[in-house]
Amino acid sequence: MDKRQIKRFLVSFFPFLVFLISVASPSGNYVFRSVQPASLPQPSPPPYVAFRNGTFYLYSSPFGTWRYPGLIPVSVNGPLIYINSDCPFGLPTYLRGPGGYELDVFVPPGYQGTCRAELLYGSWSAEYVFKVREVDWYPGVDVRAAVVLNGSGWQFLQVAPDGALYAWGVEIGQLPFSGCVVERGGVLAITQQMPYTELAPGVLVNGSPMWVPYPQSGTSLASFLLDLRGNGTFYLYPAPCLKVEAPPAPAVDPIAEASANDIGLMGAPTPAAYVLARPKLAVAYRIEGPVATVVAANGSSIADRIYIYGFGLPVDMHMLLYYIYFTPTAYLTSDLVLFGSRPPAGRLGPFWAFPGNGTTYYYLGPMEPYLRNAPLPFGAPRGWAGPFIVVADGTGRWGGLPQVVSVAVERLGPWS
Amino acid sequence: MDPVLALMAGSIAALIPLLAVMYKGSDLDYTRAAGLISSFAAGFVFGVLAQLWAQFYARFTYLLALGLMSASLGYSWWGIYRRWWTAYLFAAAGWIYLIVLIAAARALGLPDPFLI
Amino acid sequence: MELTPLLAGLVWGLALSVARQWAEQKAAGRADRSELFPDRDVVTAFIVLGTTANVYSALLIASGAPQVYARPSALVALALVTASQLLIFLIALRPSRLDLDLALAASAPYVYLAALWIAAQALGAYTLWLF
Repeated sequence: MDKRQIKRFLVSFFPFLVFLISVASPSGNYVFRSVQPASLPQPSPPPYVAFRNGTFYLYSSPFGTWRYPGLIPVSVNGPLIYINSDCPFGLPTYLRGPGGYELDVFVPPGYQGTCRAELLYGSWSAEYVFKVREVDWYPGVDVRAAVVLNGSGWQFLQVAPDGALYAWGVEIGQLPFSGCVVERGGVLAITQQMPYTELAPGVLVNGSPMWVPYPQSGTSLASFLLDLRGNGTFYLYPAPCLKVEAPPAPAVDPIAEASANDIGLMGAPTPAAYVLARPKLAVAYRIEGPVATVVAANGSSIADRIYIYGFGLPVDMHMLLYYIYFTPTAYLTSDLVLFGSRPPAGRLGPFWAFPGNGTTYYYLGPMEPYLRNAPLPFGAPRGWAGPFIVVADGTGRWGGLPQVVSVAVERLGPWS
Repeated sequence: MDPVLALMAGSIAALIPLLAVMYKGSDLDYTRAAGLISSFAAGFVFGVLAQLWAQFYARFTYLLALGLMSASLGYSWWGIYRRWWTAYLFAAAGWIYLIVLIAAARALGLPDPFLI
Repeated sequence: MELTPLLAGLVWGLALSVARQWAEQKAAGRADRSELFPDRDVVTAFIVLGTTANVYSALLIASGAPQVYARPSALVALALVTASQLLIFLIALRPSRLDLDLALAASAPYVYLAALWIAAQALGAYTLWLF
């Protein structure tokens, strides 16, 4: 063949080479445009994770799976990237391109050790190493409040959304933040969100609004129980409540308690005679939960109206919370009972103690618990009064309200 | 549905016979020019219809429309080659079919023209 | 294979080859064109296929922006493609007896890309742009 034939052949053949490349290469058209099958931008891990030299230093928790959202960013330029890993983290086995991905890592509870994840496509490969250490911390949060309390016996504690800490309805301290996950001694406590609302909106009694449990309200207090013997530490994590399947606490009958202790008994002079008026109560609603079951009752007599809430707890103790509205009629009375109708046996801190058969009642309120058969009549109170708190202790170990010894904020830092 | 792809399909359908005619050095008279326009239109409509394959591949009227458009293109090219303007009348069959379908769908209030 | 760059290149290639026929007609007048331009069949086919290949390569390379532009080999390819297309313009609009050699010169980018591809397959790389 002479040169002209060869040239003719070559000229007609060469343009097909481009189409052959596009058809015959394993990654198709990506061979023209992408430089690497994938590019790995620098990850931006959460503050408690360290990333150095391609190694992630992660934590695992004994309480649950620790989720690290968006930990590994991958930008895939070619058609496909394979992920080969021996980590039990729920990583996908391949990623389709082109596109950007931010892979989530789920560290199973209690996992410790070193593992690798390799991203590859043919002869290109990149590797990430994960070193995981177990830590006694609730997964997903980087701060916790370490609170040391001093007390004895079971304590019914509540954390308000602004961080105020209440024990048996009395404010005992202030925490830096609010949360619903409580850890004591390496174990998570059962917490319950108790919904609260104002009994009379806008009305202040003793300088505070009247907060009472009411179902489906906007404000909730995270409630839990702690058993203290001296100094005890618990950790509060700013995380939402865990869903628990637990039997509800036993209910308490506030109507029986109210009538057994003459709550709201008042002497009222009527035109016919001097009568002892006792409010007739009826149950209004119940709130059931594993930490406390609330039975709400209210009723009235000619002299006053009572709103009483019985908190039943699963630990052989219970609590009553009540507010009384005294009819604003000016008259004199000789009998006013807020609790007891019998002499208290003594005091326990700010509480008056009333021993009963097997159960000791501790009363705390803005007024003296009772006055019966006073020698001279005295002016009956007017308007709202409260909060009256009665703690019924069937265990015999309760040592009064706990004291907050210290509150500290602990931050989780990277472990390497 | 990308109109640029349809325009390119129509241009290719018209440029191929034009290249053939000019390569052979034959003269381009009005009959052949009409054939080129007919080829462009047939290629354009074919390009539009082909992009809807995924939606309508199971409809008989759609497949028939595709077939008639290809036939229309073939007749247009034959008309250019033989200088037979009557071939363009056969090419118009595809057009008439599509117009009837669209009118029927409008009258019946249907969302797309491929009735069955 | 991507359809849009392919069809775009094909349309432009056909248009250029039609322009070539018109240029040949103007140059030849009443003389016989196949004697004046002996390789016009191969050259016409080259104009169509070469333009398609040039447009296809250029659009595919440009779709990898901006990382692709950091690679000198990609920039060299784009430069060769542009030069090749200019040569094809010359072949189409100014027919001469040197058309076959010009077409061979205009095939440089295809040979370059094929050489890169063979090297990439040998090295196991997943991109043409080795340097």
